[in-house]
Amino acid sequence: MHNFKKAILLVVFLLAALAAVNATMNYALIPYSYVRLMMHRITTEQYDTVFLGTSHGLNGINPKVVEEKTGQKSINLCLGGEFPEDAYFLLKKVCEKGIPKTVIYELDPGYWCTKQGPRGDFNRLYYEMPWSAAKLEYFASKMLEMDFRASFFPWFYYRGQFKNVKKNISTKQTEDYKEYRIPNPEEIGWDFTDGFVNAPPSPGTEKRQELTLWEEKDKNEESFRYFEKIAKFCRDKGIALVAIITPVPKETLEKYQDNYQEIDAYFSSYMKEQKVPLWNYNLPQRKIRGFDYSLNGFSDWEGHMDKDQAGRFSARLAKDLKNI
Amino acid sequence: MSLISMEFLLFVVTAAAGYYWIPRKYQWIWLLIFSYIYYSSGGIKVTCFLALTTVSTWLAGIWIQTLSHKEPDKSRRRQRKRRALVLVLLLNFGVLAILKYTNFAISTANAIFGIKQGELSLLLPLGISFYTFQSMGYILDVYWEKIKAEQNLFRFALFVSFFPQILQGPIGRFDKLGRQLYESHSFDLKRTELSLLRILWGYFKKMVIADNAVIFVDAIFGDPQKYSGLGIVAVLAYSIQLYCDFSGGMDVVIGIAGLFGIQIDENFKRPYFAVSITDFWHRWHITLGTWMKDYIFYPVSLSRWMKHFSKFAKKVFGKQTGRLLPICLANIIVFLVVGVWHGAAWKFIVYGLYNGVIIAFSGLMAPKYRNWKQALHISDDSLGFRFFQILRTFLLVNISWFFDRANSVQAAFQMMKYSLTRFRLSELLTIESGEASGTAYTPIILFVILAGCLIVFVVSLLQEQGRDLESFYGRRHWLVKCVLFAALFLVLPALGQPSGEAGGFIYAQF
Repeated sequence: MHNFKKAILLVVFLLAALAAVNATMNYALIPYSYVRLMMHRITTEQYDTVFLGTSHGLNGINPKVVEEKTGQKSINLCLGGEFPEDAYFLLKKVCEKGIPKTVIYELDPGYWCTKQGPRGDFNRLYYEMPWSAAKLEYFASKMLEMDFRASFFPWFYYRGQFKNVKKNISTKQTEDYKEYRIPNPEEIGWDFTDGFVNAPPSPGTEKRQELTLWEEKDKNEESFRYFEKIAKFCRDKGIALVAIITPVPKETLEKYQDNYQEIDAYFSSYMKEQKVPLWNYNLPQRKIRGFDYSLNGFSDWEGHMDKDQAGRFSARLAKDLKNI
Repeated sequence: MSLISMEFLLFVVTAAAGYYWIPRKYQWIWLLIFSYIYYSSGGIKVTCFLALTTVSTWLAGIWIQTLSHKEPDKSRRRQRKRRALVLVLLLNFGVLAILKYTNFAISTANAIFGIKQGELSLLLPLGISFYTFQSMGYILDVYWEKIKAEQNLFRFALFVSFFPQILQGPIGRFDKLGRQLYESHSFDLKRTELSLLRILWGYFKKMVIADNAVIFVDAIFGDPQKYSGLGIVAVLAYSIQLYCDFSGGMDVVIGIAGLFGIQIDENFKRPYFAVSITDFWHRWHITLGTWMKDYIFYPVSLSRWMKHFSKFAKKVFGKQTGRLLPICLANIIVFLVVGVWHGAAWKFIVYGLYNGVIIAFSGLMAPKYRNWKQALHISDDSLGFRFFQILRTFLLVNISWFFDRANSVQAAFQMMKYSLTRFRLSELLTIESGEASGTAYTPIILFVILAGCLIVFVVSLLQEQGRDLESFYGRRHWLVKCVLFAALFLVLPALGQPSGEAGGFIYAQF
């Protein structure tokens, strides 16, 4: 019995030591991210319009512009690596504070025909999300299947960035960090001033050509399943749901014409089945006045907009939203 | 349920905690339920295959035993028993063959006959090779009356499905494993501590060493033209990856079984210290080797047709060679099966035959080797000679790894040729390390692999010298033990690669 008590004490001591080391490593290695700001906002404020989706939306939708034009309080929760499953749990988290009137889901077909890797931004989402019913459900649906190191040691995916330890620690000691204020873009390396990550214009520069094309034969059933859960959730809560496809450079459309036509045909039919409107901003009927469709208006062939383009796109999006 | 997933850890903790909480007479039932929960997490369809093997083997065991006792006529008894045995062997090995080798047969037929038959989409239940071999070993033991058939279907089901070992072995024997599974066990603190340490050690080998080595293995074997100067490095990295992945998996499995008070067979015994290929196969995947020896080698070498062959060989080649040739042939057959077991591709058949031919040749040459050593005054006990034997065996094993890992037989030969004609170590630093930064961390990862190998080497050397490391650990101060546990735990995220990129345990695909 004495040995057993001693063993329990040792285990408690070991766990406490591991927890302390873990907390220290999290503090030192995990950099300050806009995901923290997003999470803070959705847990402290209610929103009328919520944008979910991927990096195209993160760079392309300026919620401040949408808010000014529609009068609806808006938040952009798009993230690079955000699969429909992550968007679903984000939406549930939003609704814990208040039910929005409209949800706009920015659809990137690449996320519907590829499997999510272990390094995705969902790790960041999960880490920053405060504990609640939505997080518990997120854990059961997603984190349980993941490498146990991702759950126990959030710093796991940042362990290679030990050169940034000093910067991380000093950032986390600032008032901006503690008060959830938007930090100085020059200091932090990203600009989240208007509630989205805005990229500076880069006309005439060489643009990255890698992109994931839609392949129906590689359908990721999980992506479809979770989008349908989003659709059902919105119906049950009386939320208007709209799916959008953001514009891509005309050079991309020309080079991969067949693929983009297939995307439009496939997802138009799919969204019709789901009774969700699909606004494809690559179609002639959704042309945006003053929008630069050439590669000059984007940072890559995939279609990440620069700041000015995001403003123009968001204005058009706001106009369409007013007509729902 | 992956062995490295959060849900698997929670599953084991729940299973182990409940095991000691429920009344002891129900412990085996608890294990059975959890084993089926574990296996069915892969799908109901695959569970049906497991159930088919379990029920068919159990029924055959009962039937064969009944015939042994109730059939009075000796030759009729033998005939009916053999019929039941052949039926259950055909059924289970047939299912395994169809699921695993149909597409290989199709592609081979396409290549030979110039036809274009498409491959079939077949479900391959995880661990089917392991549980089939384990079950068929059981039925053969019943047939040869080495063991009594298990009367209780559910107890037998536990033997087949015991979750720590179902996916990647070791291949258990009923007389040893069954008894332990059905016995009740009480909680033992020391055993739990050692089991947890073993689990962590296994994860260390897999996540820190194997998952880092695989970066270089996949890069070089994936594009041997681009990395033509790194053939030797590729095969050495593969020898590290394969050993640490497989033996690491075994450590995890043995550790988990130990949490329930069940001791399963060791599957590795420091194979890279082997002094011959024969010795290597007594140290590598030990349970597969002993299964092959007991259920293929002995039956084949003692069969009637082998006796005829032996008579013929003695007449033609003389008494000594004639006596050895049947053993050589039996070894070649065994390793052909080993090669086929490894996978449905010609390279695995070449891999198996390569090992079989070396062992057969060594057997034939054994008398000559003895004479040469005597003439040259070489003692088997001398350190120099032993070192030479270890190095020679390591070289021969690494040649076989080319066939095991390369994309094809031709690719294996090409890489071996490049290993001799081209060597450019500097190409190693051009391999992206898996981090988003490209090659920036490659030197660090190489250092981690080497440091990890050094640790494993030191531990292995101490074990090879017969040191009792468990006792050594047991005598340490509690603070030292805590530090060791914490270090092993923390090194997994600090230095290991994400397994989703590196892949799960290799042998879980069998």
